[in-house]
Amino acid sequence: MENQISDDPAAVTDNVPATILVADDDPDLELLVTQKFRRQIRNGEFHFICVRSGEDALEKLKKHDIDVLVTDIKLPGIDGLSLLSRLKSEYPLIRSVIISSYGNMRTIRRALNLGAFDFLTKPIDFDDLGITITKTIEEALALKQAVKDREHLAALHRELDIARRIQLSMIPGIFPAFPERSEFEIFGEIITARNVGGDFYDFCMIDDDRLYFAIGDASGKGVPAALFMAVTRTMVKADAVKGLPPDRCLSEANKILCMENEFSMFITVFTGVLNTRTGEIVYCNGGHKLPFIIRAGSGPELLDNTEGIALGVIGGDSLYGLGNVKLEPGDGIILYSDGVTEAMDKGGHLFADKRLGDLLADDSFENPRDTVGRILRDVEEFSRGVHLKDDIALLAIRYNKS
Amino acid sequence: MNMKVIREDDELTHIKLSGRVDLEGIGDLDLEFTRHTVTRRKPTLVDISDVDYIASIGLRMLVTAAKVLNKFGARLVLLNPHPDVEDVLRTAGFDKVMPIEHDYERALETLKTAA
Repeated sequence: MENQISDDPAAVTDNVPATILVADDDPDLELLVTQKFRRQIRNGEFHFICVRSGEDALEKLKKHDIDVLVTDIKLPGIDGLSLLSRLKSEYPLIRSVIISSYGNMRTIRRALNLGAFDFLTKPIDFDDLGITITKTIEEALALKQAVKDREHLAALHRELDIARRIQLSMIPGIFPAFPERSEFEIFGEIITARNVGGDFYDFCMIDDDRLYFAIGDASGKGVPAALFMAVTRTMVKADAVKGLPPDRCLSEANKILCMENEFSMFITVFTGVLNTRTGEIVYCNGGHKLPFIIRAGSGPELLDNTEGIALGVIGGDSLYGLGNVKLEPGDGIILYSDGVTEAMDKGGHLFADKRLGDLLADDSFENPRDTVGRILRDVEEFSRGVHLKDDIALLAIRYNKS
Repeated sequence: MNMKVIREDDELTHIKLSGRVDLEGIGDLDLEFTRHTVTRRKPTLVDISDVDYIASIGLRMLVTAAKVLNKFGARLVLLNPHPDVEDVLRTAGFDKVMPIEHDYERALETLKTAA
């Protein structure tokens, strides 16, 4: 039976027999092994290929997917030691057992140094033969599985990396985002604790003078959170670009998320629309951390909450309400996820809202990019030496004169 | 996180959680919590006065239990959260699903109201 090597690292090969190549010019060995392992051969667990010369052995190595080589040191033509060197360079996954005459310790040492896994001495002890070959097969199969697992893992990593890139491509990341506009500046940043994350920010122009923006944080981490986030972000945006008010956007998305939510996931979303002519913002908070409003000349203040609940928890009408705030030229708004305020230091203390508020109070907020950078640096400094536990999202908008 | 069952009878489940209710803190207690709350389907009082931090996975554990209990007409009331924890709960709007009380007697009253 020919073995098929699959390119798919996830392919299951459990039912393929282990293939053992036996090279000995003495036909006795073939008899011994086929007798010793007759049960395994009958059950299709082991498959023996027997050859009488080194050349034939090389031929079979090329043609078959060999797991274990059992070879006599003395062979006509290419001898056992040469075969071992070939294995080492060309078939590193094959495990080998060499057979030498009793007491020939020097040759055995050389063979072991060439990478032989074990050895047998002639005259061959029937029990020893069984134990040695079985043990070597187990080793070879374990090694093969380890390589397969590693390839599988590498494939998963590649997929995760692709997922990461797709996810990041959903989040606007080119700044300045609207170089032709002087009425406002916007800057956002995402840092994920794992390959993919559940945080997002989003923005786009709805029409000539309305900027849609949103920030969100899905419960949990990794792929499940990322999927939930991607779905939510798209639903909210789809309604927003149609011109639906923020409370309707969240309400509609929430209804759909609540229909099928077997795993009780939820996502907090804050979304708003800035009128770039007047500075007015109309917004709705679906359970998210309240953004800071930065007033030119006075300190940061938390925005008033609206009616709202994290999306995906309970369905129903009138769960979400609207809020209004007006930005004057020079004012701004900072949206963030709790990855900022719940970043921890080595002692387990939280970064906390207060530290963020204090930092913003000292910030001139001349441009959103610098302010976001300052916050991230402070978080990094605060949590130095601690592995980032949660995703971080930040979005800052500064309103200029129209 | 630590979990202590204070009372478990036909009228009430009373549980006290303490410590950090985050991924590391919850560990296997998630199942234990579900077993004592959801599967019993009784009005449930969860004392969280000694919870000093709650992460989204902890919120999910509580909300999931509250939603199932509500379905069976029973409430889940949270007792005495630390101001920071209460802020997290209220900001997320979770007090709509599980009322927050600061007084044991009042909590018992709230538990009697229909979910």
